[in-house]
Formats: sequence, C-alpha cells, structure tokens
Amino acid sequence: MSDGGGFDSPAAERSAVYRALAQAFTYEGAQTSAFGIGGAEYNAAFDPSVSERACSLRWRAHTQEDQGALFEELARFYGFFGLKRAEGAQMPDHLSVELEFMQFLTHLEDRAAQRPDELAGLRRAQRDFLRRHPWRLVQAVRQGIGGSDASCVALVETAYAFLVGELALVERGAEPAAEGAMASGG
Amino acid sequence: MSVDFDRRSFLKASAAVGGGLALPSFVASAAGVLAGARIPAYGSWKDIYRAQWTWDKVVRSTHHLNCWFQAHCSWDVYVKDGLVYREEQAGEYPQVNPQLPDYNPRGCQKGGCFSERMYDPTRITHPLRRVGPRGGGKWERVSWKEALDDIADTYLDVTVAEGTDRTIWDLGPGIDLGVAMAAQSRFSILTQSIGLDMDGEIGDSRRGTLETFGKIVFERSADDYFNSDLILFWGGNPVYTQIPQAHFYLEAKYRGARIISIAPDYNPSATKSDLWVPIKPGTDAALALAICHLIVAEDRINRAFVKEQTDLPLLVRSDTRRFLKQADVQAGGREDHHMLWDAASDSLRAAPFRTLALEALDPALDVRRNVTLQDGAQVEVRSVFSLLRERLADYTPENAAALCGVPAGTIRRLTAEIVQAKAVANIAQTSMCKYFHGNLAERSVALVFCLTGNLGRKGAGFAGFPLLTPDGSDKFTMPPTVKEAQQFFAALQPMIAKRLADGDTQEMIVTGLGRLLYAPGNGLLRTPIWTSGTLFWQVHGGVGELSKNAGSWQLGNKRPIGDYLDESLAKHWQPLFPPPGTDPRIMISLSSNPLRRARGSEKLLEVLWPKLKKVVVLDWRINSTARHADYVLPSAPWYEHTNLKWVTPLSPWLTTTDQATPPLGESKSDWDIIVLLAKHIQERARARGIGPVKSPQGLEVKLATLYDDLTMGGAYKEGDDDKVARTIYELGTTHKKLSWDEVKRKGFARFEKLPEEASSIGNMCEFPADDSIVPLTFHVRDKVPYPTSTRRIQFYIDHPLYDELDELLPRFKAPPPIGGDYPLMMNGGKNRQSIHSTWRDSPLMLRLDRPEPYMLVSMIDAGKRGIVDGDLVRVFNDVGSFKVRAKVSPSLRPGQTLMYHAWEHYQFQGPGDMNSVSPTPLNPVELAGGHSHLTAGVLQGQSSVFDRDTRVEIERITEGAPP
Repeated sequence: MSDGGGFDSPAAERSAVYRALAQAFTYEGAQTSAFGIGGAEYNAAFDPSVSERACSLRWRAHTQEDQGALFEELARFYGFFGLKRAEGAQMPDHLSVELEFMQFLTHLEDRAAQRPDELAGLRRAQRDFLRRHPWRLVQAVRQGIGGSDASCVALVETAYAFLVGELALVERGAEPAAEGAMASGG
Repeated sequence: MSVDFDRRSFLKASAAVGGGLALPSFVASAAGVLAGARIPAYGSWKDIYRAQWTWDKVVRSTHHLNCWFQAHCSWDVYVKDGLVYREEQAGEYPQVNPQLPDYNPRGCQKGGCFSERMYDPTRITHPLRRVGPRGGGKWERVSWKEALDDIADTYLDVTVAEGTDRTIWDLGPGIDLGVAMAAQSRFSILTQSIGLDMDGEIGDSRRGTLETFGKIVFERSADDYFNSDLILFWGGNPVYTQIPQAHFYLEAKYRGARIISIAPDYNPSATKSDLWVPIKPGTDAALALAICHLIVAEDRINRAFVKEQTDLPLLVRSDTRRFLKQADVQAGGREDHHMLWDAASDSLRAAPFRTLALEALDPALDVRRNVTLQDGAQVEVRSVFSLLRERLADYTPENAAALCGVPAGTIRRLTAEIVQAKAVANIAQTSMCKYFHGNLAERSVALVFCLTGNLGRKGAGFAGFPLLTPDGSDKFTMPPTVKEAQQFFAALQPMIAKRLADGDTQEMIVTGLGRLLYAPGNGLLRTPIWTSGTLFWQVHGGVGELSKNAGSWQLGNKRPIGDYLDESLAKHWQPLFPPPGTDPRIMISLSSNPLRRARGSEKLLEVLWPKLKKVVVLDWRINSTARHADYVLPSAPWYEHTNLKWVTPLSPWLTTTDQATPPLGESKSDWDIIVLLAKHIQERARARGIGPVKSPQGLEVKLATLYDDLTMGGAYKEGDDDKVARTIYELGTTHKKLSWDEVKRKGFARFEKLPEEASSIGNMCEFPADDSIVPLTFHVRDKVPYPTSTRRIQFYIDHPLYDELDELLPRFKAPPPIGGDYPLMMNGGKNRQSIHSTWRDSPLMLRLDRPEPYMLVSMIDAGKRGIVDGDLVRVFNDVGSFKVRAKVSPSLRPGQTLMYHAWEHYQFQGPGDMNSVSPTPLNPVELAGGHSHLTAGVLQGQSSVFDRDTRVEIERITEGAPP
C-alpha cells in the first residue's frame, strides 16, 4: 500500500488499517496502539464527559442534527449489511464504531473480489458511509483537537490522512449512484 | 521522530498485519454475514431506508429526579439495539372525574429530550479516578474492583481509627426514597454512617408552615384547584415552573375562578392573571398582615373555624408569655392541656385534647382577664386572638403600603376579593422561605387563610409542601430481613398503643418515628442517621465563616449567631453529626451536587475538602462536585434501571421506571453501586481481619458481614433493582389494585390511600379514586388534632428563642441587607429549561434560553449603570463576586435582580458563581428545639438557607476582565 492508503491496496489491507484505527480510537486500544496514549491523555483529548476542552469522537458533539435521526441512519447502515450494535458497545456515532464498520465493508470487499456486481455496490456503500460519517467526523475532530497531547494529535492526523486517501479511492472506484449520492456531511 | 513518520509507520504496520475481522461493537444478525457469503445489493443510500423501521420494544418509564411540583410524568420510551431513541408522553391518564380537568398530557421539554441528554457527550460510562490534584481535571478509567477496593480500604481505615460517624452521605434533592435509598438506608443503618438532610439546605424548609401547622407536608391534587373561586399565585410562579401542571390553574378560569398574582416582577404567571399585585421583594408579611387587619377590623372572620381549628382562643399568661396550661390552674392538671375561656359557661376550661370538636364549648375569642393559679396567685391571661388583634393594629393598609409597596386601595381590593370568595387557594412553592424572615411571611399568609376558614375544603387551602411517598420503604430497609419485618415493627406496638391511648394521633406517632432518624442510639429503633445538611455545611464546611460580619446586616439578632448555634447544639435542639470538632473524612454524593448548589459553596472546597480523605460522587456526568472528587462512579440514569419514587399530591400517581436498556458501558444503578461497595468493604474487612466496631452511641457495627446483612443474606443483591422495587411496592399500603408487574407495564398508578410514613402523612386526607384530593380534611372535617404543641393551627409560638426575637406572633420584619449595604436585591427562582442542574448545560435546552449564566436586571437599574442587554457584569458585595451576563428586562422592578438557579460552577466565566455572594446566615429561630413541634424531623424543623435577601451591586465590565 502507498502512504496514507493507496488506490491499489488490497481491500484486506485497507480493512486491517481500519481495524487498527478503530481500536486506536478506543480508550483501551489507544494505550496499546503504536501511539501509546495514556488513559488520562486520552480522556483529556477525546472525552468531553471528563474534560471540557476535549474534542469528542462522537458526531453528536459536532452537530445539531437530531440524535434519533442520526442513530437511525447509522443503525440502518449497519443493519443493511447485517450488523447490530453489540451490548456494551460505544455509541453508534463514535469514530471507532464507524471505522470498525468501514473495516467490515472493506472486509466484505475483500470477500467479494470475484463478484463485480457486489463490488460496485460495496464501493458505493463505502463512499456514502465514509463521506457521510467518518470523513466528516474526523475532519471535525481534527479541527477541535488542537492543543492536545501530541500522540492524540498524531492519531487524528493519521486517521485523517488515511481517510483522505480512502475518500479519493472510493470516489473513483464507485460508480455514480443511480439515484444520486448522499450529501456530504463534511 | 515526526508525526508524519509515525503515521506512515502505523499505517504500514497495520496493513501488514493483514486480514482478520474484529468487530467488538457489533453482532451479526444472521449466519454468514461476516463471511460475506451474501452481500446485500447496495444501489444508493436510499436503499438503507427502504425497510420498515421497527422498535425492539417500547417501555413505560420516567425521569426520577426532583421535578418536585411537576413530579412525575409517564413516558413511552422507544428502544432499538439497546439504545433509547426517543420518548413520548404516555398520555394515558384516566379522567378521574368528568367535572374535573384530566392530567393529560404530562411531560415537559426536559423529559422529551432525555434520551438526547443521557447519550450526549457528557455521559460517563466508566469508573473514573482523578489523576493529579483534586479539581485538576484529569481522569483515568479504573475497574470497579480497583475503585471499590480503594474506597473500601479508606472506609475501613477511617471507621476503625476515627469512628463510624466520619462517613457522610451527601444526599441530594434527587434521592428517590425508593430503590437507591433502600441501599443507602440499609448501609447507614448497618454502619451508622451519616446522611445529610438536604431539605433545609436547599432552602425548602417551609419553616413558617411548620411553625403554624406542626408539619410542612400537605397539598391538594392539581385538579382540585379547578374547584377554587380565587387562586392566589403568592410565592410561586407556576406558569413558568410547573409545566405539566399549570393548565389546571388556568383552566379554573373556565368555571369563573379569578387568579391574582402577588409578585415583585411581572413574571410569566402574572401575565396570565386577572390581577397582578406588585410587591417589594420579601415584604409579603406586611401585605398579609394588612389583609388580616382588615378582616379583623371588618369582622369578616370565620369564627367557627377559628375557634375550632386554631390556637386563637387559647390563653397566654401575661407574666411568662407562655400558654396557660391545665397544670397551672388545676391540681393534677396536665402540662399538655391548654386552656380557653368558655363563653357558654363563662368559665376557664381546658381545650379539647383528643379532638378538635368543641362539643358544648363556645370559646371566647377576645379574652383579657385574670385567672387564679393553683397556688392562688392571680395572673393576667390573654387569648392569642387578643394579642393578635393588638399586633394587627399596626398593619393598617396605609402603614403596610409603606412597607410592601402595595397601595392601600389595592390591599383593600385584595382583601375584599378574598373574603368574598367561597374557596380561596394559593400556589406557594418554596420561595418565601428562602428569605431570612420567610417564616414570618408564611405564618402571616397562613393567618389570612385561617381567619377566613379557607382550609381543608375543596378548592380552598393554604398550600404546604407537596410530597407523597409509597410507604413500603421503611418496611424493607429497617428490619434485618423482610421476613422479620412484622416481628420487627411489632416491637413498636406497645409504644404506639400507649400513645394512642394517651390521645396522640397516628400522624403524631408516625411523625415522631421519623424524628428517630436524627437521634442515633435512641433505644427504640436502629435507623439510618440523618443530620442537618445546613449545619453540616455551616460548621464542617466553613460556610458559617461567611457570616462573620453578619452584625452589620440588620438581622435583628440579640446575640452573635454563634451564640445561638452553640446553645442549640449544647441543648441538642438541632442535630449535627459528627459533632463540631470531629472532622468528616469520607463524603459520598448520591443524586447530589453541593458545589453547584450550596450557597457559599466555594467555602466547602476551602474548609471541608481538605478534611476529606475520599470524595466519591455517584452520577452519570461530571458535575461541579464531581470535578473535585477522587472517584466518580458512573450511575445509570432512569431508563436503565427499574425503580419507584416519591411524587406529590398535585399529581398523585406513583410513576415507575422500567428498565428500557442495560446500563451504558460499565454504568451501574445506584443500588448496585452501594451494594457492591458493601461487598468490597466486607471482603476487605475479612481480608484485613477487622472485627466489629462501636458507633459513638455504642451500637455495634459489623464490617465483616456488611454485604451479607445489607442484602439480607443475598436475598437482595446486586442486579436486583426490580426485585427490591417490587418488594417495596408490595410491602406498602398505598397501592393494592394493581400488581407490580401491572404498574410497570402501565407506568403509573394512583395512590389509593394516605401513606403511613413520615414524609407524607401530613397530607391527612383520603385519596379518592374518583375525585380530587383535599389535604387536611382529617383535621377540618373529622376534627383530628394537628401535630402542634397546642394540637391546633398555631400562630403563637411560645419558645424562648421566639420570645427573644419578638416572633411569638406573626409580624413583619424587613428583609435584612445580607451581604452588605448594596442597592440591589438578588432574587432567584427555579428555571424552566432544567430540573436543578440536570439539563443546565444541555446544548439543546440552552438553545431555548441563553447559552450562559445571566442575571435579570430591570431596565431602570441597567440604564443607571450604562448596562445594555448582553453586557458582561460583575456582581459583588462584601462576601464575594462573580461575572455574569445582564439580561435587561422590563418585567423586573427597580432594585430587584433575579438569577434563575442551577447554573453549574463551570458555566461561569472566571472564579466565582452565583453562590459566591450568598453567605446565608443562620436564622436563630430555626435553631429552636426542645419543643413538641419544632423538633427536627424528616425534611422539616432544621436550619435553612437564605439567598433571596442578598444585596449586591453590579457593574459593567469588559470581556476578559479580571475577577
């Protein structure tokens, strides 16, 4: 793969990056990730429940959209591909959950490598979901993270850079949707 | 190493790890999903919306915080994938009586967005331990075991080395008197740890009501206001603060009722009234006494009512200024029998004792004569009415107008409206009692109602403090086990039988049992220990230091405040545990937020906090207090556990929560947290070989069996919220028509009878299924004596402190300039967009209000100071200062400012908050005790706080100015 996620990367590799990023954006995963973000630093950077200056990893914190409508849209995305929220999971609009779902979609792409019809649909789904959710969220987090622990900033920058590449990839790889693409939330 | 390098390394390394799916946040809805065996065809985003949306379930629930007058409303809660998406008013309250308005719909904007609030980014979901100094703002997650073991070890260290009374339960206004408090109560009973009674500490003492009626709890159902001919909004602003209830008051107009608002400001309730009577803040007693003056002068007294129900015919000795007792005049006479002059027999007679019914007696009202004492001495006696008439002489409408600012003509008009109405009721919340002399105002307003006989009838009554609690809690919490409940309480029967035989009423006995909570080691019952929250903050929290200059505040005291407090504590008139000089060491906040709430709260950080070895907060967000805690334990909000809670007669429906979803993250219900704390204390006590210890009163505290004892041998353990709620419900006497499961499904159930417990029995009335609730009917209709020292509604308080301060009878005292000689009075009130602080920083609710703390200032005062709407101003007096936005309002009267409450400390700019200027000096009369009805009891008879008299000045400042 090329830096930041290349257009020619195998879907499995992309999926693995999504998995690593999803884990790195959790409290526990941040500590064991290559970024080695301590619990207090994670909370100070990302958890507004404990720090006023923290930048939330949930889209809910960056929007005035109706929470129910947001949850419904996410649940419909997840449910459309056969997933339901696990008990004890983060909230559905948390960046780690959204990246985890992208991991799943790219994993499916890997599995559907030989099924072109399904591949096209998956790329469209990746594009729509990415644009609508993790992309706009990671941009918001990148804007709000200033002044936090350097490792936390690095993690966000890493995710941002990766998603920049991913967005380009899925924009190019997905055919225009028959009924129009979802508006970008960015 | 650059960030860019890190990024590349990370991405490469992650990609190199290769495949493998990790989906901890999801479960697959069908086999083969993860393998991608059959991938749904995705054409566009519209496809995800094609499937019919379905809910996993819809449950009935509510929000068990302290909505108080509005409590509670049943909601349909919609659940999908273990999350609550939305809620809707259940809207299924039955019409009780076709002649009365119904309760639908119940629910306000706060309840309507609670699913947003509980999932907003401020929700905490894991136990948190501070990193660095208290208040430093750094936290890390810890496991429940780490947190509870550490707290348990500190608890054991403190309890063994320093005593059982060093652990304090800071019980906030949100306590449920249900499942959470069942755990806390059993913990307190077993460990003899101390709970703070917050009623006075939040300014809800209703002191004057206690002085007059011997209780504070009595209120009608909201639909009974439909029966009123005249409703006085006097001490309340219900259109603003009682969202689901206000319609009842306004609907009364449809059957011809008039509404008169008596308030300093042209507030939202005043705008809905037929007449607004503007009054200077804190001068209600002058107005009320002027009305009484006219009623007496024009002989519009309801004599039958006054003679039967009040102490006005009772005789007072002129030499001692104490009531004349039977023991004074008759050999073998009783100290608790009061005397009157019977006009029918023209003789001195004992007032009826076991009943209010006068039978053949015809008490003279205006008495001044000599009587012969037992020893043959002659002494002048006067009836309370005679003394009162003399006092009222000072309150001509013209004199009162100068005091309260209401023109004499308006006072006469108001009086005429009152005496001509058949049924007069008032909406009085807990506003007057937040003034330093609010007790005198309440006594004076109560006098208006009693002179006119507007009490204990449909649509007629002085509003007390509304509370209604299912009565199964004590039966669950007090005995060692539920099985032993009957036997446990049977031990009280001889005492109860004797008191009944001696003429005491059930109300007096139940109220007396409630007072045992303030008397640990009482020898009768081992109870949880409660103590005065106000005195705890004053003495242990250092708030008392803010009143060091109170001598210049014209409080009218004859001695320094400290003298009164010392006397009260020395005579055990008021409860304070641990006693002065014995430092508290552990504080556990349950449904509480004292650093937001307590007047002068910054003192707590300065004085109390350093004494505390552990500060533990149970909450679902990091409120102002939690920010200075050592541990914050994530408690589950109301949709995440099953519970029942107190309500009020205004809406007499027990309203339940049925667990809609599991607690988010690692949250736990308060029941679970307290039970688990007990478990860890037990485990650590056993591991450390710690045996029983003794409380200061000599009671044995068994630490090594705490969990076993609290859970009744494991019968009610962690995870058993529903089982506890069911047991409390089934042990109660108030609901027998529906099973617990039926109530949970329905979400609410009407009270069927008067609860037999201390916080509710004061209502003293039936709870008919098909009619409104009329409090005090057992007194007014059935002639059951009141729980006062005279057994009547009492306007003469013959206690030495009242004598010293010239408050034997109601009178007017001007609101003192608390905080210093400054021109503006800082009033307050409940706010509309939050219940206490729960929604105060909710972005959604702030959109309906202003987004940061503001103070309402009159146009005239603002203009004089060059302040325009939205300016940042500094508010200051001799005690402190804070910064706030000015909201320039045409509705306020000059000299008045108003801050709606509950802004979190962290919402203010810079140091200080609205509590910084409120020293809340103790009122000596509230320190009284050694008296049959001024003794501290459940939610009554304790010191209060006063912030409404606070004097301040304001000045415009520039953004970013130093404090």
